[in-house]
Amino acid sequence: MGSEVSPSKRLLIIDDDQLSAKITEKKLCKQGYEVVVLNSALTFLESLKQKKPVEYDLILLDVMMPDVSGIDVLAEIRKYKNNLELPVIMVTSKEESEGIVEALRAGANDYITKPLNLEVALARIRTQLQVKELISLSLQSKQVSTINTMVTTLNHEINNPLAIAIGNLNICKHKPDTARIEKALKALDRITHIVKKIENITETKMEEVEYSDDTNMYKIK
Amino acid sequence: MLFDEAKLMSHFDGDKEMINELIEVFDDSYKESLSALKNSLQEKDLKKIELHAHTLKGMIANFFAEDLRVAAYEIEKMGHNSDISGYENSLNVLDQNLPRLIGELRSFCGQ
Repeated sequence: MGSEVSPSKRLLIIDDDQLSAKITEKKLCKQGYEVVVLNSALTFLESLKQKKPVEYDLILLDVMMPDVSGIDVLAEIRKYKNNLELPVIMVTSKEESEGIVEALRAGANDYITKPLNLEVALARIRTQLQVKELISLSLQSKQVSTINTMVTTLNHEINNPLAIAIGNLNICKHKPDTARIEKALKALDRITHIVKKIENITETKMEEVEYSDDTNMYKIK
Repeated sequence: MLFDEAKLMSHFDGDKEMINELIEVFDDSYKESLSALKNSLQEKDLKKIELHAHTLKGMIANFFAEDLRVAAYEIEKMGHNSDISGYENSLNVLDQNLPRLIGELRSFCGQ
């Protein structure tokens, strides 16, 4: 079972019940997870508010705690991280059906009951981690595709006027010609214009169009 | 026996060394929670009664001591429903049997 788990995954347990938290920690550590336990959610909430990077891949959050309820902690977490960025699995006792519904409505990814059934807990933890990883890979793939499209755009938009400018200036080396210099300057102006648009890329209106069979480009408007 | 041996062994994968370590955590933690529960019962602080009984219930559930878990749950429900009349019976079950449970667990694990 342990071999299926990526050892780099860090899980955070937030539970005021030290005993239950320790049992969960020991069981998950045995499976190869790196586990951190907090018996109060307050320090974690503070670091979220300070926008410190979240060091955990998933949180196991107890519903009923003294300082602040698990549902309130979840609501705070969701102000900063959505359920795809940071999966939260609520930990409840088997009598807490009302709390479960409330937690799922508040953005919990799933729930498990105490005392922890290891097989069930592992299955649910793995599912959430896999979903998170797939979404992360999909976003990375989209980013790579966007970069490729931008490179194609730059090649096309800049290479054309650059070729015009170089061609005209090369001819002028042997035979000066005001009209050709004007053409070269106009082409260089076009490049300056494109570079400025790239600098303000977020404000530039673009349309993604097909450049070749397997490549798209942005048409800068 | 106050706890279910088979369930306990299955839950901890037969790891008596781990159970031994957890009994010590349980011994410290339950005393703290039971004392907090008694105080909140005296103060009739319903929210705290529910909370401390809930915590105690969760701890006990880890060792599959069903009668004690039910006793804690009874008090939790009383706090939740704002009616703590007759809590003494359940509290007595906890008060008298929690030390016994620790003893039985220790003996089961060969301490």
